[in-house]
Amino acid sequence: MEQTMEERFDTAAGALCARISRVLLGLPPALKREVQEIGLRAGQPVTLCCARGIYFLTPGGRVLCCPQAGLLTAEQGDLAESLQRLCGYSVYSCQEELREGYLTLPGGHRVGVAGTAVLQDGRIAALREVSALNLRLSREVKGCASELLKRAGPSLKGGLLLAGPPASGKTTLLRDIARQLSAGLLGRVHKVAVVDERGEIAGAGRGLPQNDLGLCCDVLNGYPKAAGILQAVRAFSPEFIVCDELGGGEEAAAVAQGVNAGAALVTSIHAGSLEELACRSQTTVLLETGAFSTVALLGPRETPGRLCGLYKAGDLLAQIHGDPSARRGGKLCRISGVA
Amino acid sequence: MGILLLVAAGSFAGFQESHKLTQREKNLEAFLRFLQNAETEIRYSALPVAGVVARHSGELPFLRRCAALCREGEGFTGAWERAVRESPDFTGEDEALLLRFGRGFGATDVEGQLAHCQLTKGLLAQRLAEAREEKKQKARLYQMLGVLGGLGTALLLC
Repeated sequence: MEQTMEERFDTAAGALCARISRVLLGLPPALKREVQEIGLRAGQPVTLCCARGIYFLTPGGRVLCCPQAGLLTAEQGDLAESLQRLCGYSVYSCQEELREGYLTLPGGHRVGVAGTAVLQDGRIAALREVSALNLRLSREVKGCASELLKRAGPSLKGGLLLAGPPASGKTTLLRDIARQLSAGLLGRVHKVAVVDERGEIAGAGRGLPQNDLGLCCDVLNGYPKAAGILQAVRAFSPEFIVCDELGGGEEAAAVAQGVNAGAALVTSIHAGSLEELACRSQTTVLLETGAFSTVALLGPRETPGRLCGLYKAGDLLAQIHGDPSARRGGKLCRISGVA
Repeated sequence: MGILLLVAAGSFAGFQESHKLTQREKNLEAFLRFLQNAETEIRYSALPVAGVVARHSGELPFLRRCAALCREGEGFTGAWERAVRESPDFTGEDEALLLRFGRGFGATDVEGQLAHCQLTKGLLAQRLAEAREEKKQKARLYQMLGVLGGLGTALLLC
């Protein structure tokens, strides 16, 4: 059943320690709808990140814009208890995610975890003394990708790279793109495979997607992206493969194989602006695979989901290679006049 | 008739005490099997603790109770403690061992959990050996005491 934003907030907040979740669950519904992130730092006040700014809480549940004495503070014990609850009291079943520094809750909410790293052979083996938890609330905004899909049009079949800063709504857009394609809202039903390495797009809980991804969507939950893309191509013959935050060389190689197998890729990458995007070596590697014909740039975190520009990938790549001005903020060729 | 009733009551009391010793041994053996299953689940399926308890709760009522409390939304640590304390199957040091196990169950990574299970299995094996010895020494004694106690009381009253 579809959850409202308040219910999503309550589900996520209810997974934290009892002392803090009690205060969070009592917040006004209007604020619950706005919250993007809940921050717990050892010995520091609990913070609520919204598009309009950061808010603080009193133990009585009053919301304040400025820090002052007597705020609701997260103690180390609260963080330890929250982590236990977030892991379902089973740290061992989440240890790979914890090594990577995050956990995903049913519903797709993502919790960033920071603490003292325990190293073994130069690699993070475990975390101890958890010092911060950052709970990012997953949203399901049906129709949020309509404008992007309308403007991209048939070029979507050539692959789409979605660029935006953190909390700009990339995952929410990817989720809606997968849903619209697979539900047949763009003319006909398309076969979609979602490679959901961190469980954020589908928000799977007990193996079932908690978010609506349409009628014809196969979810490869928890698969590393490179392995998942190849598996999807081999086993599900998708028309579109959707995945979040592509990065390393292994993933780019899998992308190249995917594109040569006839599946269009829709994915995201972190970049605050077109200039930042052009400067990232990952962008060049991904665009050179030929898997993307279009690059969409999203606005800042204050306006999540707002499309700022839609560009031809070839032009962007040409500017990166040929015109040094691209790296200094030169103009790039837009597909259409997006505000 | 009264004499017969007195003998029967004494025998029943003796057999009850003897049965408790047998039951304790069975419960400890069942918990040892649970620990072995938990180790396998942790090592190969990474099933969360509530799932482990639900899947392998079969023989022990307190595990079924714990699984039910978890389903109702209670946190695992609290559910385990409540289920153990409410259970009449484990008392004294056996109960303390289960409570200690519950406090650490799920709290660490795979290696830590396997070590935790191994440690508890070692302690449990000692308690099981004691239970078996106690049963061997006292089960028949309790039965005899029950019968003889009943007979003795009957003779005194005659």
